[in-house]
Amino acid sequence: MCGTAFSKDDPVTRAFNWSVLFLIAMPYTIFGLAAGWLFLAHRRRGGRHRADVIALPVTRQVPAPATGPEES
Amino acid sequence: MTAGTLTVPRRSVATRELPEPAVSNTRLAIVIVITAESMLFAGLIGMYIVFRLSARAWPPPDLPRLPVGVAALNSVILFASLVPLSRALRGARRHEATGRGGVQVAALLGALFLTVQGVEWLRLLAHGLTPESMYGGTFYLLIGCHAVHVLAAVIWLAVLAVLERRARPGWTSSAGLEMCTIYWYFVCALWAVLFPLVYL
Repeated sequence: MCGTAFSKDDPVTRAFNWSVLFLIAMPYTIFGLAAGWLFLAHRRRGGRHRADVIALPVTRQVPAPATGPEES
Repeated sequence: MTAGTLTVPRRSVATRELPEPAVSNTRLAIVIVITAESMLFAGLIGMYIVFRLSARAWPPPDLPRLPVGVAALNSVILFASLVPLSRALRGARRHEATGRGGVQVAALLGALFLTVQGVEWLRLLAHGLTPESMYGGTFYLLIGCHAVHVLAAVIWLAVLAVLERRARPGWTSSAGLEMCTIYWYFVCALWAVLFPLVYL
């Protein structure tokens, strides 16, 4: 749009192009940095925090079935 | 048959401590504030880029030059304030008395930064760099907006310093100091961007 409103080699065109590019990039950069920091903080924390160990009841020992030839 | 008393045994409820969140509420709050502030400054810098790149000559030849040397020295003062403040935060996190005066020192250095900037502004105005010109207008807007943020941070630091003096012995809370330190880091990082952009 800036190229059509002004001439192509106009410094105003160049200035608007750089400014638009900067303003497009900035929200992604800022929010990306914030999101990345949150992600890293959670990941670092996740390594230390583990789920509770559930104590299961003691099971009775069952003898293994005999694997000999079948008796007729 | 005699009537007896029925006693119901109290069920003991094991109190389980909730795990600390990965990011504390104070940190999250200040990060949200900083994100919003960064967007404000991104808009201002975008405006500055348009004016600077579209100008045939920057700075205009008929206007006074900005005092780069004094501003560079002022930057050193601002960045130097990070050292005592970081030490004070480290001490508060460990519940130690080390670096207790760091908050006061940082507030004083911040106030000195503002004073030097104010004196320079008066000199520039006397030399004819008024906000009416595009060059002067963008300069005062960008640097003035940063100065307002520094002023807010200095007031915050001063309040923290007073609260620290009035606090009972043994009472330590690093939450407020942590928020203020993060904000101060942001203000310094912003100056690291604005100084080369505007002055150089």
